[in-house]
Amino acid sequence: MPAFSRIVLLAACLCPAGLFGSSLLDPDLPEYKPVSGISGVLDSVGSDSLNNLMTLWAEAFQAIYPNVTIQIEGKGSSTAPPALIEGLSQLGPMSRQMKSSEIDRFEAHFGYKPHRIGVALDTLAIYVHRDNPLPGLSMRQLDAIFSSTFKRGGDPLLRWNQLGLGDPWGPRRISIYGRNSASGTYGFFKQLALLNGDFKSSVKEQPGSSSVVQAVAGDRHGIGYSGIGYRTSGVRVLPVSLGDSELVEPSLENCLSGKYPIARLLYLYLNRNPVEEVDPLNREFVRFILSRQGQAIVVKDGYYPLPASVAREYMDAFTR
Amino acid sequence: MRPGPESPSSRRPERFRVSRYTLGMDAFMERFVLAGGLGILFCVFAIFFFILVEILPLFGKARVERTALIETGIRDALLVGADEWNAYPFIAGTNGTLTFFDPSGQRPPKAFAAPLPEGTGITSAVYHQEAQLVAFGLSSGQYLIAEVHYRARFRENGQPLIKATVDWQAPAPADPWPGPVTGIDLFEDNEQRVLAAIVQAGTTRQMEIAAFSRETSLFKESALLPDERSFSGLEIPASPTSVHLGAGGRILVVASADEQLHVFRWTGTAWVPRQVIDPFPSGGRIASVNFIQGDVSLSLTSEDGQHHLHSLYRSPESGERTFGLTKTFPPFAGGATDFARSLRNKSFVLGNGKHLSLRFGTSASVRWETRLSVPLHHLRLGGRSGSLFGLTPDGVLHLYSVDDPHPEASFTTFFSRIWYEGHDRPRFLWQSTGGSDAFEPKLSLVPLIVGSLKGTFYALVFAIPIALLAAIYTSQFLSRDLRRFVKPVIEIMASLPSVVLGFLAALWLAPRLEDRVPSAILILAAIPAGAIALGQIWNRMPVRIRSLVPKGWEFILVLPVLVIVSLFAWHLGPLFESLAFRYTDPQTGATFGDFRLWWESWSGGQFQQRNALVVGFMMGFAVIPIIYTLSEDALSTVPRSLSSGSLALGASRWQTTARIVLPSASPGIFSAIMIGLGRAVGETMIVVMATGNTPILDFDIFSGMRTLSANIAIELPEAPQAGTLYRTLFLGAFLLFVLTFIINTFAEVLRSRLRERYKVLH
Repeated sequence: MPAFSRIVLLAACLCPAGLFGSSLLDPDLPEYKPVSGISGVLDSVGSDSLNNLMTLWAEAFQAIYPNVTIQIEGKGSSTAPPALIEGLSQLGPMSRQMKSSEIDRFEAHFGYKPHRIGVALDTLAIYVHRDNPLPGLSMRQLDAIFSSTFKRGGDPLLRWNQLGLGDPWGPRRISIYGRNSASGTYGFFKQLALLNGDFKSSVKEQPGSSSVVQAVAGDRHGIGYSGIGYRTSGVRVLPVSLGDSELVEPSLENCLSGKYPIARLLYLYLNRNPVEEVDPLNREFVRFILSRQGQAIVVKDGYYPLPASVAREYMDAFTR
Repeated sequence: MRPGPESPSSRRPERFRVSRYTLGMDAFMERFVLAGGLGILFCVFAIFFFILVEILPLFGKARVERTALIETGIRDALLVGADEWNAYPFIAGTNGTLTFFDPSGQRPPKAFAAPLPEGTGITSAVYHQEAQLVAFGLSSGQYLIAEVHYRARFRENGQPLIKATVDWQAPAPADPWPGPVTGIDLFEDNEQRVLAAIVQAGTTRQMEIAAFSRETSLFKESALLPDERSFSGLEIPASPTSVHLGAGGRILVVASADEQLHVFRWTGTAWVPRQVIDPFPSGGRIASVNFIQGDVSLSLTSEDGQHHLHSLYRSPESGERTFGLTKTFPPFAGGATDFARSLRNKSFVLGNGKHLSLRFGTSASVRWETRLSVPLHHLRLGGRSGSLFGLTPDGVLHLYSVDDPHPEASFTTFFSRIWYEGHDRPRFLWQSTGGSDAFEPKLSLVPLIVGSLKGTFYALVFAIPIALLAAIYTSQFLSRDLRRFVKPVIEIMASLPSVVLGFLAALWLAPRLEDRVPSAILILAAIPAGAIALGQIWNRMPVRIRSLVPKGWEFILVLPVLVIVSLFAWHLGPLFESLAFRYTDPQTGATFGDFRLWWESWSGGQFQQRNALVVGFMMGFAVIPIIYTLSEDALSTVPRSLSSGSLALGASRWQTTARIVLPSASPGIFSAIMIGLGRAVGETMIVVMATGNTPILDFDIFSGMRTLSANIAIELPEAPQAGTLYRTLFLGAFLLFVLTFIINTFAEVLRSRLRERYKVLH
């Protein structure tokens, strides 16, 4: 009976993904085959963008291994390194790469660097209110809206008519929403769109990925950035262009080819001692999320899956 | 103590004696209460002490100590390089050989000879520490790049053993430049490699640029391919002496013999002269030009000891990004001959033989300074800026440990305007985190203090009138039966979780209030006006009608009027807006009524959806029950004899309330307001949810704010323990502590004065 319910649960988890995600999933991704004797507790502390995804993975993984307990806490990518260092967590999901100062601290504690695995592809989407008719934005315009340092060389953009919009946007101030500074999305956007410049002080910092989207949906003059997985009907996603080239939609294709300028990998950091054998629970969890089932969940959550070759590379590097 | 048989008390009748249980209980309770009181005092001091322990290290100085001496025997070095662990530094000799040394002395030195073409010498050298590249300019008009690879091998005991290998590139360009390379600089990141060189062509010097870029996508990097930025023979008006690449390989700074800096910028199609800087207008020959970490700020020293920092920022006049003088450091006598920058923050070391100085860019301060007994050259800060290397002329490598955990923290950075990199003027800014290490943390507490005061102010402006008037009404005018019912109901308001209030404010109130500010203004005016008008009419009514409403139930009449007046005002708002708040669009010339635009042009400030009005409203909602219930208590406890006497002498109900009851209750009302104020200052969740947490510095009602408490709630989870941000957040907590302490002390003093003054009445 438990085995049967396990299978039903798994099927319930994976079927919709199989239906929707078939076109996105790489057919060469390996099938996950359960092994015996896996039990224990995994703690995950880190990214808010990855929170849903980690929860879905954990549910599916626990359905395979009922003796495994996974606890997930997602307040922001910056919370992952301190938790890994203090041993409060084994998994550190992050939506940006660790900064060298964070790696330094980890290394000072353990003597080796944290192990990084890419787990999914994400594109940062630029959201506006659903009625907003703006065709798209260039990276320079984005920088001119969000930054106070204008490193891409644009002139400050404060009002919607500077982007050519008429009533009811016209002379109104662009109302800017973003993530709070603990978030990897914040750091990533700062690095890529603002070229490490500073945000304007008037960027309204929201505590979560979905609250950015909610806030933009409730503000006709709003604009904000958040992961593509949080798209709702109240907002519209703007295509973005790099330089003067054409506008690019945040699709998987454009993300893989590098045409969409603000795409990123989502990461999982682990404490992997290079001289010891890798912990079987950690190994199986990583193997699961890099498998076809794991990547189908990625699609289900609205992110993009990894190509099979990349997933294999990460798996090899982890188990070596 | 048991009384003796002869003692006087033994003659007392038994019934006058206090039972031993009561006495014991009394003594116990007295000690218990004392212990409790002392315990609270102790806890307060312990919290205070804990916060103090966390923040004191912020104001510590840098500690630099010599830890090792390594005899290298290399007397004529070009440069010193170091790995990120500071475990295997190397020295480049004049023949190009890179020799690696183990400071612990466990391994013999390991040398990698440079594949120099026959008969060529090295005429210039540069080391790119982030990318571990060494570039030599050759006498043959070529350059030679060495890629240094460090690898950590983990031994059985878990300790890493650092190994190094060197990959030599072929000398380039294949078609050599027309003379020896006398100056060279290299810029590298994951997208590009740019090399700039000064070439001595006969008697003149010219600039050469070799640029390569790689295609990067998420998963792969292509090889370096020549890039259109390569350029030969860039014209410099005066003979160039040194060259520096910065700002992502798109800015070229050339120091020339006429003591000027020539700045070129890559526009996307060509290198264009952008700016000529006279770095020391008061005179003084240029001694050193170096980019500090981040490659957008230039540290400049002159031979007469001046030390300036020029940063790249967008000038508001021209709209171009140009260099401007942003900081003046304390003098460095003689100018720098050696320079080493940190890879982790904005600190750097200036050296001039025996004189060393560790300085920090953001605060323009000297963190540490010393005079040595032997001169040190070829300075290098280790990867984690925990170590400083320097080489003496007789070939001894000195290794210093540098302990400066909080260079960003000082009274200047917390409380005064700082001219940050990329900004066009000094500002108070809070922006603690960036996406990379090149980010300059902005830790001014001023916007947060102002934000705390602003939120409190608007909450109290909203809450005090409503809460006080309600308290006066319920205690003095409302019927006794109703009062028993009203008071608990308002007190239930206090039990609403503030996170719910904040959520309501953010997602329900803010979007509705955004379009309807004129309606809100009208309602604020209409409610008191309606109430006063009704009162006037009611007073003119004959007693026959007035006596229909029992005393204490008059509000039944006011309620429908207030509802009608409010609805009317709400719907009249748009009309009021189109008539009173006219705005002319400067672009089209059209004039229309629009409060938001009118406000922005009239006040010069911003109109944000998440503003102080919304926060004041919601935080007021949280504060009202506190002020209400405490002041109602104070008003109700005024002795009946006082108000009865006043009424008996012919004073009206209002006269009695205003002249007798209110003054007697004023100490209590005052402390009620102060407790409300304390609640508003420390309130966190409403502010986190309802404002955009924008650390802006103004007191406008229609812009947002970020308070000290909200800031702690937002940033503490991400702050690495014992890091600068972590301690700075504790400093914010300390300020909050001090702020409430001052307010409470002030309130207590005032309250005791008031009580003294009205004591006669009781």
